[in-house]
This record gives sequence, C-alpha cells and structure tokens, in this order.
Amino acid sequence: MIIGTDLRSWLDDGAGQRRSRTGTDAFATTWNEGPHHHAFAAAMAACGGRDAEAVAAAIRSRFEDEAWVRDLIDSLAAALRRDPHFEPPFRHMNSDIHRGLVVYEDEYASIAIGVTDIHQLAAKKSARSGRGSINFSGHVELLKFVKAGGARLAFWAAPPITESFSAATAGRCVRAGERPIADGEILQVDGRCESFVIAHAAANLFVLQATVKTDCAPVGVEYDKATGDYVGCSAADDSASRIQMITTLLRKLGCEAAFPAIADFLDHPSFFVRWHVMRELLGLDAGAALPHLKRMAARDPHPETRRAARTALDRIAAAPRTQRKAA
Amino acid sequence: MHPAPEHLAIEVEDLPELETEVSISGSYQQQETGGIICIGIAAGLAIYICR
Repeated sequence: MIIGTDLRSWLDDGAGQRRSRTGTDAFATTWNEGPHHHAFAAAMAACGGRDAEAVAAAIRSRFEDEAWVRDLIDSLAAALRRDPHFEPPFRHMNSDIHRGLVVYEDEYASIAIGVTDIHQLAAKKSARSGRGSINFSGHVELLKFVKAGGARLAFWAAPPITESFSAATAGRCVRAGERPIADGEILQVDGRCESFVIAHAAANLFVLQATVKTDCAPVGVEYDKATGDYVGCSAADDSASRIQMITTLLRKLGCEAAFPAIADFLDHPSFFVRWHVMRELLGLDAGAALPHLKRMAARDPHPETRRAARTALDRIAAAPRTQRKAA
Repeated sequence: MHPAPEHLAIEVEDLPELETEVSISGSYQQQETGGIICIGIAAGLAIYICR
C-alpha cells in the first residue's frame, strides 16, 4: 500500500489520531442530540410502529423536508475541512454500485443517505450483459431521489412473500413497467412483492433510503432476471441470523442452562428460525426438547416446519437406544 | 412408541433440513451481523476456556 505524506504523519501521530477520534465523537453527539435526529425520533414515536404503512408515512413527512439533508452534508463537509482524517460516525451501507451512510436507526426503520455511482453502474451492466438477479428485499422501502441523475427505473413484481413462504410456491417475477424518475421524487416500494432496477441513468444518483422494519417478510427473495425463475432466499431480518448463529454456538458449547432461553424462540415469526432452534434444542437436550418437537409436528403454522418435525419424530422412533452422548 | 429420549444420542447434522434453504441475512446488515457475532464467539470461547 502506498500512502501519502499527510497520512504517514497522521499514522505516526498518536495525539493527532486522538483528536480525530474526539472530533468524530463530538460530531456523533451533536447529530444524535440535534433537532433533525430528534425530529425523526418524534415522528417514529408518534406513529408507534403501528404497521409498515404508518412508519412509511412518518418517514415520508421527514423526506419532504430536505433541510436536514443539507445541514448534515454541510456539517460533514465542515468537519472534513477541519480534519481530513475525520471519520463520519455512521455505519456504512455499501454495494458494488452504491455508497451510503446509515444516519438514523431505531426499532421501526433505518434511514441512509447515499450515492449510486453511474460509472460503476455502467460497468456492472456491461459485465452482466443483461443477465443477473432481481431482489425482493422483504421490507417496505421509501426512497427519495434528491438527484435522480436522469434515471429510468424498471419495475418488477412477484407473488407476495408471506410467513408461509416456500421455495416450491415462490412463483416467478415479471416486469411491471419502466418510467423516468424526477429530481425530488419520493418512491415507495413494497419489497414483499415489488422491486426495481436502474435501467438507465445519465449521472450519479443522490438518494435517501428508508428501510421499514415493521411487518417485514421472513425472507428476501432473488429471481433470475432473464427467466423470472426463483433463485434463492435469505433472512430479511439480521436478528434472525443472529439467533441462528448464537443458538448453534450455545449448543456446540453444550450450554444446557440456555435451554429455556433458546426454547423461547420456538415462537419466532420466521419458520426457518423455529426449525433451526428446534434442531439445536434436540442436540442440546433431547429429552426436554421432545415435547416441543411433538407440538411443532402437530401445530406449527408452516407446512415445511411441521413436515421436518414429523420426519425427525419418525427418525427418533426408529433410532436404536444408545447411551446418551457426553455434552 | 418413542424410546425414552434421555437414552438417545441425537446428532443435529442427522436431523432433517427444511426444503426451502434460507441463507444468512444479506446486504449491509450481514456485515454488522458478522462483526457482532465474531465478538460473541470470542466471548463465548473465552468463557469456555476459563472454565
């Protein structure tokens, strides 16, 4: 890695690094306690996360006023002029064509500002030659195209992703029109059945993007762009993936004391979390897990989960008695 | 009739999977999950080793 003189000096200057860190912390405090952040929090509190539509409406009211965006960018620019090593105190939201910062987040929504790079978009389209995927996020999203870059969006539709989603019934996605987007336009996309791609753009896009967490589908779904066929799905909510990883870790550590806490997730709204948790409980303490497994086989709302539970019961019934494995 | 479960050795890997395979959460959330989970695993291992 080749680094410039300024960066070399900063890397050798502990006091300078602490000053940069202090500047970042001060910026975070000013933003988090400032009027714009409070306005978002108040709008969210007023809607109470009642449903996805209510959360989207609350965000729309904040998106219609661009003063907070100008203030935030001016503040970031001033901080960078004071210290070129200033690091904005926001989580990054990057993809191969888009770079963004998550500037607000609570239990109902996350809000990011970002730029879609026209050159990277062109390179991606050129490399894929029309191939690729259409992703349905599983979340209601609200986008404000502060600068639309002369973009035309191609819209896609798919069967609604519900709590009873399965690969076998995912269906296909289809084109649902194409139209230009104007500067300042606010677009609501229901990622549970709608998606879009940028078909064409003449300049970078500057976009505010809100992802509504309320009423999200269990999974985000990917379809093949050329054929419309189902490709695969992933957890729409990162907390579902965290539960899966942590319960696996607890089982691998033989942490039987965690059994009741893990069993609480048997009522999780996502079918694949319920089955993952059931497997880990069986691995942790089969005796204690068996009544839960029987209940799941009889009453779980998702047919695949019921089917897997019944298959597990049959295998247990057919298994030879052995000494219980050591934890 | 099911055998007494306390005498069963159940390997999680032998249990059935769902027909619908669901990958780990994607997008920027995946990066965050990875970071926090790494800390969680490190803490878990530290507790395990200290026992």
